[in-house]
Amino acid sequence: MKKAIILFADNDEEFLATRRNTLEQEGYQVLSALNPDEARNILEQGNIDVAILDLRLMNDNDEKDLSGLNLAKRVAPAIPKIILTKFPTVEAVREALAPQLIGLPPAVDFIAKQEGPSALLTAIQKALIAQD
Amino acid sequence: MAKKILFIDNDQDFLDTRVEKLSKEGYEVLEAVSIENAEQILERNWIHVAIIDVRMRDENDGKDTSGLSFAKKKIYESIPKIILTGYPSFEYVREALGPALEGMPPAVDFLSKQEGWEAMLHAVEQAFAKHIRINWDLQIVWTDLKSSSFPHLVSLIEPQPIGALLPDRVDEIEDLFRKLFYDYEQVTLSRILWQKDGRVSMDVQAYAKSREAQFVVTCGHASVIHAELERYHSVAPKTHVVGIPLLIQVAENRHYAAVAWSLPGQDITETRSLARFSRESTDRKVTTALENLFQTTLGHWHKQLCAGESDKNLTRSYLECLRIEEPDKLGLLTKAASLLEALAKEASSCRLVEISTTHDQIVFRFSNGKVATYTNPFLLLTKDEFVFMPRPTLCTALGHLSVNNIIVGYNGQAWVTDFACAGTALPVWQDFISLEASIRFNLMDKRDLYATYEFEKQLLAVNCLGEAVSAVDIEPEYRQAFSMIQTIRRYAAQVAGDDLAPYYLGLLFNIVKGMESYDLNICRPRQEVITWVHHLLLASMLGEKIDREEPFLGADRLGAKAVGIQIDEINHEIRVQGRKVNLTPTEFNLLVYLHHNANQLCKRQDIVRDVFGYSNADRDAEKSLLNTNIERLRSKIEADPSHPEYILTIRGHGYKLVVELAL
Repeated sequence: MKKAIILFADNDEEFLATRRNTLEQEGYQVLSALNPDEARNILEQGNIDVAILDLRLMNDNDEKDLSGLNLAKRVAPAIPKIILTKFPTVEAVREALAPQLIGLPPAVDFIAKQEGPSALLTAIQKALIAQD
Repeated sequence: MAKKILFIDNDQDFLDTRVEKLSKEGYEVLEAVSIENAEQILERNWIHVAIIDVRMRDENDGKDTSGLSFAKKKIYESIPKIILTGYPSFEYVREALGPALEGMPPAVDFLSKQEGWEAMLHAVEQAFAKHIRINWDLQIVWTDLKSSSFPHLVSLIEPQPIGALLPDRVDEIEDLFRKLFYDYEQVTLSRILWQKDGRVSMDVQAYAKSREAQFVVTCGHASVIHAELERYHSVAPKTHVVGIPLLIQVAENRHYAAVAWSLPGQDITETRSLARFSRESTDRKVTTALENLFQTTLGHWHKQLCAGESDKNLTRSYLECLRIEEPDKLGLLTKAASLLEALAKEASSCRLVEISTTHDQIVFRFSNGKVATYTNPFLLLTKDEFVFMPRPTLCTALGHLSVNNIIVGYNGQAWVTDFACAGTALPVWQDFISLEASIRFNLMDKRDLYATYEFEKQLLAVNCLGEAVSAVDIEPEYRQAFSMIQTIRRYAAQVAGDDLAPYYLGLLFNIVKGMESYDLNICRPRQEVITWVHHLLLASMLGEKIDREEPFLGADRLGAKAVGIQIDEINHEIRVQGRKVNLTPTEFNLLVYLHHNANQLCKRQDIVRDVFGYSNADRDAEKSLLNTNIERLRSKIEADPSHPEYILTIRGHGYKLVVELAL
């Protein structure tokens, strides 16, 4: 079976390395991005199966930083995206998952970092199944 | 037309304030203070949007997500929902709005109570704008309010009276039209084209600023309409065929669904049902309409013959096609006996005819003193199989044609608009038979029972299906029906062959199916009684005809299995493997000639000379005459005409008929 390719975008380098490790152990091939531009490049090339996007990709202390969500909204609508964040808010989930009049919501799922690696793995599996 | 909201919240005070505000905005709001309460309301009422509180049981219980669970129920999937809570958490939102992996998410929006009234109003407006495709401004005009209206439609669709539910169902069906014609400004509903089994078909003119369009709209219970669409998709030709409508739009809500069909190139306002068309047009125009129906509209379908499946015989094919349950013998005969008894009593009290029945016979004594005796046709139906019946030829067909569900344009173009019984493996005779049966019972004005008897006798006096019979002896008012049936049979013979037996058997099944709806408990006017006796009379006459084919069955029972080709020169009858085959005189003479010289070479020039009476076999015309007749003969007697087993070609010389010699 072909390995599923996952984009993991997070500006927290340490967290990224840990999760990357977990995902690779699960048999996924992982491409990482540390900022919105890198993530955008990989998304636009289009040969990934799922994208995991940190909500605050630029500044973890900036409440107004929604760069991950903005990427999900604007780039590569066909690629299923999971929004990941240390700071889950009602507004952000609503924006990520709200049904649209035309087309799909920006993201297929919304996970808090606090929920641990298993929540993320389940979300990835669901996204891959739905894609088949 | 009101926008209806169901507001579900166990906090009565909050509910009251918000409901008041929403009502002021023009919404019609129903309140539910518990999940059970909400379920009851949804059972009865038609709503557009639901607002649902998350904690419906206990405000203080963090684990109470009863509102969310309610929103996830499959039966409410089609209702756009807004989830509301005083305790917003990102987990609630995630659960309400996604993940959008399987089908629809449970809700279209999420609100926290703290966000206030403005946010709620905005969310409600958004839900209506984005998720309810209802044309609120559509003007719906009924040209004839006396004969049709939305309540009238509901009453035609619902099999039982629905009492207090009516107002909501009427709203629901009106919404359906507002969905279906989302892009238009006005629709005119002028007349009902046909109605059958809980479906109503009507013609609709739709207008928008710079355009107008015409549709045939069929509406009914959602499950019924969906089943019909599934059949349409499986059988309808992929390319456009004149006479087969195009599917334009489907709309659905909780209970009902509607389909808009377009008839390209046809002014729908000019169309009439075939029944009306034939009452109002000349015979020639009616024949043209039928020709159009069988050649253009259905020609393509009926050509898609498929080999009969080996595990089915003709009887079973008809039973399946007509959705008759496999008759259990005793049950069928008991039911038939009570039907016969009731009908006999009714007919006698109308002084129409005296019907007396024994176990295996049925006797009609007409008021003019004439008597007709037949085998009880119901007895025949308990047979599993008829040995002389050919294997079923199956094809793609509509399954149920009637003079009501076929509509005809001014120019004689016939359109089929009912796909509820269509299928890909139906007996090839079925479309012809169902139409023929409906002509009898919808078009023939019944005044004189004996005249209908004469009518049927005349129709049965043929040796092969396509044979024309003179209509001279037919009562003038029945002549049109007579000629229509003959046209139908001519086409049936072209498509399915000349054999009468499978056609009669199918007709018998169709008639008996029709008799299922005879209600023992009501009193009928005399005309209707005539119709039912006509059913019974025809069934008996057909049964007798089918039963007459019995001798060979008898031979079969004695163990002398009918094999090969049997020729009865006196009666001009041919049987192949016990099956009666109808031949033209030339074909018959040719076969007799080959049979006299069986198992030996018959030279081409000898055949041409002795059978056709020409001396020179080299002339192209005679050559092709012989070829044509051999081909036709093969198509009638060979199991696979391209690999003949009886009539073999001896290349360069002539033909040889191979028969097993009688021992």
